[in-house]
Amino acid sequence: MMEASKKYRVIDSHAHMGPIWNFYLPYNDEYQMLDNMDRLGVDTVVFSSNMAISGDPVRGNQYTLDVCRRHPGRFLGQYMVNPNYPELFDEEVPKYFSHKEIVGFKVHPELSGDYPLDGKNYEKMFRYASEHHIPILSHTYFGGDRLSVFEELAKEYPEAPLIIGHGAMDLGTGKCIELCNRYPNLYYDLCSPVNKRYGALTMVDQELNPDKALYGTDGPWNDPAVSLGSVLLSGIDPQKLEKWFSGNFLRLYTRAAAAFAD
Amino acid sequence: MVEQNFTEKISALEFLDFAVSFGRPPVPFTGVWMDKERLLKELRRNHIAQSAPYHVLAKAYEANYGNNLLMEEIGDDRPEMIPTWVVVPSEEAMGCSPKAYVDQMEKEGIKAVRLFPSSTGNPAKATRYAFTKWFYGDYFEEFQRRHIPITVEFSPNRRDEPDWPKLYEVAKDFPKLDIILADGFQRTAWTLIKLLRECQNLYVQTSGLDVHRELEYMVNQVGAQRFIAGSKFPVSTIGTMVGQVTFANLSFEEKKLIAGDNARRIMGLPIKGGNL
Repeated sequence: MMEASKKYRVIDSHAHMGPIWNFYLPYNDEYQMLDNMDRLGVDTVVFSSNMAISGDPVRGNQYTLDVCRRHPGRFLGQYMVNPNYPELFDEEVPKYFSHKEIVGFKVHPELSGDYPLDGKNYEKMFRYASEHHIPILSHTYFGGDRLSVFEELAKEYPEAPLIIGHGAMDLGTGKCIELCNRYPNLYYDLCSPVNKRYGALTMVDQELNPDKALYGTDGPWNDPAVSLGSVLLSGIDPQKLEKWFSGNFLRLYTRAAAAFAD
Repeated sequence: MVEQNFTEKISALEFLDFAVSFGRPPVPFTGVWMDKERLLKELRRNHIAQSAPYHVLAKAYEANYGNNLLMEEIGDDRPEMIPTWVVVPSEEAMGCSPKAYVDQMEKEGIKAVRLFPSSTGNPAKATRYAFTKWFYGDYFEEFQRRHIPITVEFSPNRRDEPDWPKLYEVAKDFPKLDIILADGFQRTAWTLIKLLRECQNLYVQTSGLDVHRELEYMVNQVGAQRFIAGSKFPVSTIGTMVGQVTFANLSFEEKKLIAGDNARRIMGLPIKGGNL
């Protein structure tokens, strides 16, 4: 039975911003996304820009930081690591993470030319993440690495929090849950489409450690209203939803506290 | 902050979920399947006023078999459940002429039919027949003549596009036939807008629109009358549909049309008044 007036702080921990090259994303700029957040009641969106993922990574990451600084507490950024430009890491990463608005790493091996997550050009990122306890969100889902790669990386870098993007839905929800339960540094990205699929959501509720799921929508690639409706109406225990919607994020993304303090 | 309880808003919209199914499939998606009782329970839990189910085996096994099973299992749960049939539009497949098929539909109170033709991307999952006038023409003529709306659902792979020329062709060949396009229309807004503007007899099921504020955007382009709420439960949750419509930046009247009244209108069902 749902509580009559339960309210949730909602942090969308997996999102993007801006247009994309091969199809139309309505209302994709910061103001239009903010308008949608206000209407839905979403407090914060954590994003990597579409420019950084599938355009110029230098411009794209700068755009991410600029947007976050314009809207303190409403947008937080993930620095997109493009393995095709390994020289950028030493130049840029310390600079970006000196800003409190940048709270994590994002990688998209598939859209980075199918560069493997366990490839050489991601090694600096894993070491940096380990040293500074910075979460890495990696795309999966019809592209990207096998779960065995995530498992090996979790073992090799036990201090680097690694979030399995989209719950690796096409690779086996059950297997992904099992890995997240087993390895302290593996987390489950409860993002579209997994948060929209009845069976997958049920499995996550019943089998995953409740401290391991982080809610996200993949907006504007997906509609946040769809994910929000799906999870809100799931009938799942409100205490668990509270963890998914924000509690787990705040515990994992320790840098975010500084950004929210303002 | 997001408020959990918005049941009043949901109830006021009088949802009719146009895309639900029940029955045990050969491969339950992510391990779940619904029988009729559990489906009804989930619909009621989500405050859905009505639904238009089909039987899984009508798609996954054989159309007539599944359609008959649907009728047995729905029983007295009407009008909360409005049965819809699956059809392979040929006399050889259905074992009767188009006229006899629609006669039977009318006798049983069936208000819409569904087609699951194969696409170029995934013929292993869908039913293989040529989606073209020389195949379906006699059945579609009968559906058009007797005002039976049809839903067309391809089974595209994630990055497939619909066969746009075929969709244009069927809409133009049967301009008085109401055709609901089910899924596979994510990320196709540019083309879909033009198609909808060209063909006024085309409708889009909400489950197929899923980029940022896409429902709002499409309504602003072509009007709320063109969209039919459908969840695809138990593949997707019912909450996906409810959230998409209820939270959309649209007027109450627009949402109510999409939530259920458009479906009721094209199926010739009564529409109740509603208020927020």
